Amino acid sequence: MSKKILIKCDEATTICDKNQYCEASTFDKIRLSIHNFLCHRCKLYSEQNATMTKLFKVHFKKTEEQHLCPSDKEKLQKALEKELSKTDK
Amino acid sequence: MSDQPKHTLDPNKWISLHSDYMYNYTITRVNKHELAKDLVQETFFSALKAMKNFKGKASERTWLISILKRKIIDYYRKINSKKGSAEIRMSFYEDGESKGKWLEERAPSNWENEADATIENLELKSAIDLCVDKLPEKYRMVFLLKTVQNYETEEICNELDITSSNLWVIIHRARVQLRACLEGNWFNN
Repeated sequence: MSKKILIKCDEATTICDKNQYCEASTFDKIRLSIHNFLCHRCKLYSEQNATMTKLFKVHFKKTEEQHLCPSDKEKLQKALEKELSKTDK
Repeated sequence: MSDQPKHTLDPNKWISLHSDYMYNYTITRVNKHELAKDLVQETFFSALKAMKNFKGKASERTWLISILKRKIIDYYRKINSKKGSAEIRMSFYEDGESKGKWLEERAPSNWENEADATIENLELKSAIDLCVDKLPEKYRMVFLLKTVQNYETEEICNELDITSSNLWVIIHRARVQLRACLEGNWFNN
């Protein structure tokens, strides 16, 4: 195995971030657990990161479909017609 | 005949048929109304110029979206190449004996009102929005696609033409900055 088991805080926090999206590998999760056992700052980061994930789930709703307002569409239509007349020439 | 083009283009109907879809596609990526509008307009203009290259194999909408995707990549590259004030502050020592360890002033501290965090709360919502707005645009775009729109890593990488390790560095920096911002503006305020 080429990857080392003991990692630094920057690597541990990156793994923890991947884990928030369920994309950390099992080996990475083991490395993170070992690191967090030894590092109280990263342990705290991991706990708070999990809280942030929950918080984002509550507060960020997947944006609903957004539309252009009629006046924007009208402007767009005029601009396109103008451009179209240029290409017709 | 089998090699006849299946699809045709009718620019007079582009706005009514595709502008809402294209705007919605763009706004979820760039998060700014004026910019999204401009990118959609530029796409239509480029499409007009490229009409003669349309082979009729893809639908009109698919063809327009492929042009729009290029516009978004170009825009992302433009903001990605900007360096300077908007750059995220590093949280870890970058060299020396402590390389990779937390910088003292950026290390996490305990949160006081963590228990309220997952409850629907308008004040907290605006604190989050404020912190997200403070992210450099190139980070915000990737963070929102991943976190709010729940896009697959591969999908974002293909769309923005970045590698997955680039993506995770961006997500990491964005989350570290958001954590620090929320700590200051909400949790320990």
